[in-house]
Amino acid sequence: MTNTENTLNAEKTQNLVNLTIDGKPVSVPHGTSVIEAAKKIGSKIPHFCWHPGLSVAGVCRLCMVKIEGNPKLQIGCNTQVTEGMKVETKHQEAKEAQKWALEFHLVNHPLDCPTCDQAGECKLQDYYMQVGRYDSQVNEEKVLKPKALDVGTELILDTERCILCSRCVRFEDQVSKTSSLGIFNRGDHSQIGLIPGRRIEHNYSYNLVDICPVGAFTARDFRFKCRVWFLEKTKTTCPGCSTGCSVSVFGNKMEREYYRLKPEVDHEVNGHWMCDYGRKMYKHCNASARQSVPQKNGTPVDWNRITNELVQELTKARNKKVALVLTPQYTNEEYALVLSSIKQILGTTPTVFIWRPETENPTEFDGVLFRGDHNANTKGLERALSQANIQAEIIRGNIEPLKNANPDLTIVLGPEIEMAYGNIENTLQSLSKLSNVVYFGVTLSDTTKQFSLTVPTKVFVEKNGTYLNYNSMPRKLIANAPVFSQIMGLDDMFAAALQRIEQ
Amino acid sequence: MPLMKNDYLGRKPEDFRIFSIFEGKENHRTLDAYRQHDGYAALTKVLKEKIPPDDVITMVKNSGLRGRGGAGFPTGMKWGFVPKAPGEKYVITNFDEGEPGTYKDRYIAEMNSHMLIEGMILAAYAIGAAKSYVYIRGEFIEERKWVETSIREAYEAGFLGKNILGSGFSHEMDIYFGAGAYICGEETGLISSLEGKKGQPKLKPPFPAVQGYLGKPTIVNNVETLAAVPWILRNGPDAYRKFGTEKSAGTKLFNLSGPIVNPGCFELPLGYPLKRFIYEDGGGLLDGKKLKAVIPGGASAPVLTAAEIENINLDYESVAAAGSMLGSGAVIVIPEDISMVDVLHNIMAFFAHESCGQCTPCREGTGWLFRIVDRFKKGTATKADLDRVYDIANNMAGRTICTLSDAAAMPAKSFIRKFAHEFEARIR
Amino acid sequence: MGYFSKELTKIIEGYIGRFETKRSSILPILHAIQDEKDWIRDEDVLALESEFNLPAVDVREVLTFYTMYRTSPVKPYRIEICNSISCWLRGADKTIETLENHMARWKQKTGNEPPFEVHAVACLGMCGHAPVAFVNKDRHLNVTPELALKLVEQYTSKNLAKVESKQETQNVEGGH
Repeated sequence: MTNTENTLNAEKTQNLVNLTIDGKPVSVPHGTSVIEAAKKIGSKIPHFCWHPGLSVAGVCRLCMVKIEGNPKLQIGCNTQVTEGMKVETKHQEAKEAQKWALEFHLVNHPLDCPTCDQAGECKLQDYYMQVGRYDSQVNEEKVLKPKALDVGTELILDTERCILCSRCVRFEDQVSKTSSLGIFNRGDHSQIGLIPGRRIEHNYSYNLVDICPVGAFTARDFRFKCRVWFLEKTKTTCPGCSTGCSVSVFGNKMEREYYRLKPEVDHEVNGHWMCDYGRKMYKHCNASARQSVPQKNGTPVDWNRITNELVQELTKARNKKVALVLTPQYTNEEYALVLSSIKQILGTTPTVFIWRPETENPTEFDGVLFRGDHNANTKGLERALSQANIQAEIIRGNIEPLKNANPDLTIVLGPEIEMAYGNIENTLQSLSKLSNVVYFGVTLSDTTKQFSLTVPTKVFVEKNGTYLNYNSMPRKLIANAPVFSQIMGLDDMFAAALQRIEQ
Repeated sequence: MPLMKNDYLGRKPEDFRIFSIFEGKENHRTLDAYRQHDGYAALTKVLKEKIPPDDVITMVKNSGLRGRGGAGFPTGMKWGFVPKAPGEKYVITNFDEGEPGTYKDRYIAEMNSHMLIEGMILAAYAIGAAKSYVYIRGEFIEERKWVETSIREAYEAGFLGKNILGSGFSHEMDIYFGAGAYICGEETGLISSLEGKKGQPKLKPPFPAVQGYLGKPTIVNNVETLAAVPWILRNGPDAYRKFGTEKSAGTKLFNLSGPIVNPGCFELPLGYPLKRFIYEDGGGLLDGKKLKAVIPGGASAPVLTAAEIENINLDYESVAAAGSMLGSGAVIVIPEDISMVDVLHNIMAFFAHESCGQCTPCREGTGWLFRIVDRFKKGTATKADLDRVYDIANNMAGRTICTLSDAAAMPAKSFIRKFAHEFEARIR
Repeated sequence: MGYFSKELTKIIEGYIGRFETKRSSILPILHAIQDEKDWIRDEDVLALESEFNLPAVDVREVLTFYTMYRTSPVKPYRIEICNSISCWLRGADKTIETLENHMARWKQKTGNEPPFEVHAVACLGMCGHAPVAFVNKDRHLNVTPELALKLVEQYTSKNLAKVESKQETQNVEGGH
């Protein structure tokens, strides 16, 4: 947490400071900066180097404001509010200073926007449109610096585009605590970089791309794939681990293709950041990685018949031994519905097993965000079972306990994010040896063809619902339209199944 | 060392000596030599008589001593900003003398660095600091040895270390050397450098007096400022005020450089006439050339034309009233046959080379200004470039963490304004 | 056996313990390495990290920021001439040009690289004795083109042996 955030939290209860910004009154806690106070009333002061999740550097000199009684313009990021302060963010002098600050940023910037992935979400572009000089004075040869450097598995660095705001350096020092970046040389030859031969290989490297206000850091994963203006975002929760970071998933709606995840500010959970593992959570959502139609004994079944098939399997199993295998990656609502509807249809409670990764250290924590429990809803599953008064046995890799229960029907809610389970093939093989299996999952394989019924499931970005994170805090999922238009969620299927039974 | 040539205000040149008393003496750099001139008498008096630290600060305040590094900030007031509460505090001497034209601080080391050391110990006593540093620029190899020797002598004589002169006051002193960066002459850049980092200035607030070296209260003073303190405490603030003008008290070291007959470091009372300095003490320009312009306070001071210096005196107010600044007291003369375009080119190259690169307007602006002035030098500049220099300079000055951008902007603006015809003559 | 020589290791350890924080030792340590090895290599930076726990990024930032540190091989005699305003006004550029021409002629005549290199540097703080120059660690004053050529001859005639920096520096007293 930054100092300012600390102050904000610590002094919430203390006296507020009253000031006016652009004529509007605002009250903020003591210790708040002008830039934050302005944000509160929707007055956006342009800035490059300031970032609410990092210390104040005060070097871009863009956030210049006029403060009554002060002959010199001040930077909004390092000026703390005082009682009665009168700030003008759009004063002629401030606007002129902002214009020139931008102009200075462009002196050695390559202006290669047509080939830059940041175009469209570049602060340099945005601010130039808002407050820049349209008759640029820059008519100089540029200082040339290295481009397209391979600086990490996930990162490409263009040192020429860099405007030396030092956000990335501060991120490495203060958040990831890896301190791998430095600004070398001086004057207009200053250059962002690493120790020669070293790379940025940690689990938070994508944040460097996010905080880079220009296109100096770009994500290898996203480079040249899609122009950002084709993307729309869905705010939801990352399913990558039990932390449950607030994120946005970016997809191209026309193509129904997802491209990336970015963190959403959430002071209670992830602050401004998310991990690289979480960034991969779009890949399993795309059509190419998923099975689109259900199968019955290895033969495709039409979606409009799937409820019938499910009802048939369940009714056949009435008064027989039924096992339900759950993984901790579904929503609270899905668990509740599945447990109650199966019980209602069968008339009895099935024997429940929790299928967890073969090897895991669920209590592990990296000190930043990433937790060893790579399942989003371990707590939610625990709670759902305890509310239903069900004692469940845990199986990992070895499904002996399940086999020993000798079920006539086994319903499996397989993992949505299979990589959290390492290799699930062995487990699937073992399951396929059971007499009658109904399997719900994302990627269906040759093995799953051997199940009586295999049903593709929706992925997190297509669901509404909640997870409980490691701290039992509810984390919300917001549904986007599914990639496969006909796909049914567990909610639709089981609700329909219940209806069918009741008829 | 050239001394003031003639009587001034009815007093002999010798009457204006605080730092230059050692001039021409044998073995003048030793502790013995210093003691022969009442060296460490002020410290001894303060410690033996248990003069309260605040009284020391008051005496310095009353003397009218102002920072001799360039800014001219009242020294006693600066000391007064340090919180009184006990705790780790530091005194740092800024011996990063790097402003082109300036070589006065090294003169003090060359004469006798005990003046500085005694001044530092007194400053440390006044603010309650247990540790001090002399930050000396890396290029001053010989000067460093002189200071190191003096520190060692002071330790051996019991003026440094534990329980100095049985007073209960203890103080440690060390020396630290830079590695080539003008910006380390800026007090917070110097602190960054002393912390083992790039010499990049720090955001203010907080000011060093409250949060300086390693976040602890710190005063950073110029060599000449601190070296004047023992004299002031020995002779009293009023004696110091007898030199100089009402607002610019005391003597100051002035450096005369450029094509002048008698260049050098002179100790003069503040308020001394600039023209007299150049022609009488400096002996006028080499080869009898005519004076075109004067830079009165180091490379960053706005230039003055020969006509403008007619009635200027060497004190903070007089030079400021003429639109320039006394700065470090480096008087650089420019003769008639030198192109002002070339002079500005040289100065802009310096600032572009020395910008630390932290704040965008300075990092990009200094390089931009240089590139434009380079076009003037090459004869490829346009009329628009003339206005552009002015615009860029105006929009750099006052917009950055430290004043290096101002230091680059001021000469740029003054040269273009006062010698426009020379620049226009170089337009394509 | 450590990476640095025994003597240098001792100096480094001395600096590491000398200041309030370890980081402050970076500048003097780099000076010490350069004193022994003439210039500072990437390997030196890495060794400071691996053997003394001084982060390589911190060291490299310092190394590349300050102009006195050299990061490429140097010739036996490194001549630095101040070309800031006061020295320039007294002909430093002419001294530099003279030496550069001398270097070119040397190369032409002998077919070899001359054993010295010439650099224009920023203010050396002796502006009353302009132009000021350093040859390695020796300071020389009033370095006119003639004196510059004489200095080159004096230094290079010493059998190309590197002049010890311990040599007495020119006495500047009385030069005022």
